[in-house]
Amino acid sequence: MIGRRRPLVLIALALVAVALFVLPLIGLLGVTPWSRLGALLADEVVVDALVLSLWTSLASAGLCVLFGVPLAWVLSRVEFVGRSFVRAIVTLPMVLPPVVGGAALLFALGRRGVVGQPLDEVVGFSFPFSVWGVVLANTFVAMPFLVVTVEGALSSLDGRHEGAAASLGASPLTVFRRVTLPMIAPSLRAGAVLAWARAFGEFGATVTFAGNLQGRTQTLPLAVFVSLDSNRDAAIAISLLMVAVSIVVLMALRSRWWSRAPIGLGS
Amino acid sequence: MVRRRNRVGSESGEPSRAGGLDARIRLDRGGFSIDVDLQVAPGETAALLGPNGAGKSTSLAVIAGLHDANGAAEPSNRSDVILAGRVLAGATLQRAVPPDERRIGVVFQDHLLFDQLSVLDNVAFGPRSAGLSRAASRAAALPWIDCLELGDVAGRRPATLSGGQAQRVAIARALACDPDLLLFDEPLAALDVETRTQVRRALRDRLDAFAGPRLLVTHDPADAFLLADRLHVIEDGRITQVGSPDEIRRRPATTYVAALAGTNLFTGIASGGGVRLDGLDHTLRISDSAISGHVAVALHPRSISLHGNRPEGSQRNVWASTVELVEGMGNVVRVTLAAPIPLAVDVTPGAVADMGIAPGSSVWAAVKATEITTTPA
Repeated sequence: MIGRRRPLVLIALALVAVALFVLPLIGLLGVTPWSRLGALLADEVVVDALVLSLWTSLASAGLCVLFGVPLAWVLSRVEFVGRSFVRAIVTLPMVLPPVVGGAALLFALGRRGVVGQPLDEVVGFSFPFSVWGVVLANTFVAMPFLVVTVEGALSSLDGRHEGAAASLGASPLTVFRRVTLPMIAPSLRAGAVLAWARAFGEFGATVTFAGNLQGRTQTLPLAVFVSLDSNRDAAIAISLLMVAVSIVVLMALRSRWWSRAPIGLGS
Repeated sequence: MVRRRNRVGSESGEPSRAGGLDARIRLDRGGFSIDVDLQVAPGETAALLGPNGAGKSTSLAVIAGLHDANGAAEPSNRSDVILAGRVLAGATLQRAVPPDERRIGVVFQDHLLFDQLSVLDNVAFGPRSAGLSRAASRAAALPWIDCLELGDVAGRRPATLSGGQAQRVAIARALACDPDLLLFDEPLAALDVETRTQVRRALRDRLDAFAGPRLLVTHDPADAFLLADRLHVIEDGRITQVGSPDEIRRRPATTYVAALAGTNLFTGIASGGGVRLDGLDHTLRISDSAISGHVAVALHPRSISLHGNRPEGSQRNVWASTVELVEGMGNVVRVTLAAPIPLAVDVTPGAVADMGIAPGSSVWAAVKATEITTTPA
């Protein structure tokens, strides 16, 4: 490394990028009411929102893995008419404003939606204004990140290992479980973390589809938005809390999961 | 672990082939067609030998039921594959038997071990896929770990193994499935030259220990001639010659076969600057006096000279022999010598005329010690 010349222009531009991320953080820290922080965070509204945000984002990440991995597999391995159309639809939530996504969910799964109305009439369950509405909205916006990451990994995978496993008598599902999944594990973890992060910070689709009920559907981002008007210090405290949780989770996962740590025998 | 096999009695052919492989590979792909018949008896090692692009990999994929490297299905595949009396592919089937039900152990060129599993669990992969518990599948793998001397590395990751060790794991993994056929794809190509000769010798013993049919797919004549009992030469999608290594060496049917069969290959035991050839009552003098133990010996046909009378030269190896066969091959004539060393020798047409070489005539053969290549095996 020593003595290798590095293009200064790249470093300069990278520093600008870093500044873009660091400056808002400094701004936030600068206005934080440090002395009252403990009291602000102990507020019932904040605690409710934190608990709700943590478990709904984790549940969404879990659903993203459960449904997104098979979807990524189908998109990468099964040839069918309209595949590129399905791929476009699946990635749509990445570009769509979340509010639009939330509204669309409402038209489909709301109490008077295409699917929502019969669902409500038959089993008496409706998504909007329920915690499951939060999970669904989160999953809607987060799953594309997992699908795109995992599909990329599947497409670049050397398929011959799967053939080798088949020749050893493994059924297609066993091949997927014992060979394909372990081989794409790093990408799967990265995709799951991305999906979790997207779900944790989700605002627009949640507020549109699930509403803003404290203790039921009011997640941390919603609590920040509500507090900005009424209680600015509380908004700052909650924002700081989100930053802290995100950094802790991302760094913990990065060191434990994102690196290719050796896996125990017989994993 | 007993699996049901849907055997077909009458279609399995003659009794000696009952446990063998009978493949008729018929395939078209973008102007390139493959038309290859292969029969391998139980206990026989066959080699499918040919240059790159001749259709070897495709033939292997058809037999094993694997897709080709592009993962593309083969709509033009009209092949028949019968193994151990069981039809794996053919017109009589609605659908070809999928690879996981074929009972074919494949040892791949780059081994394709599962990096996320230990060596032991790689070998246990087949038994586990057959439905055994983790503990039971490991117990089933252990005899193969012992058999292929992998006990010291059983807990290690494949990525940490040497090429020779990785190949032993791949063989153990294939054998642990109790296959009806052992299929090798370029078994030694992934190894460096030095390891290759060592591994080749060990491989011969391991092949012989497997009772079913064995098929090597290779472009390396050394692998084919030293490991196989029977060679099937494939060129441009067609089998151009079938025979024992000796038959093919003596009567190469095409220029490709002549070129690759040209090098006379033997094995033997070296000591004190000489090599006693295995199975032959003859010792060759070599230039490397330091080498000892098992060696592979190569003599190029052009490095051997023929003489009407005992030559008075510097050659260290001179012996009397009888001409068995004389065949013109373009601008050289290949002379096949009989005992004491069956050898192919290339001479000019002029020399043949001058000496009056014909089948049955007596000649003196000579070769310099420096012209003999020996490698530890």
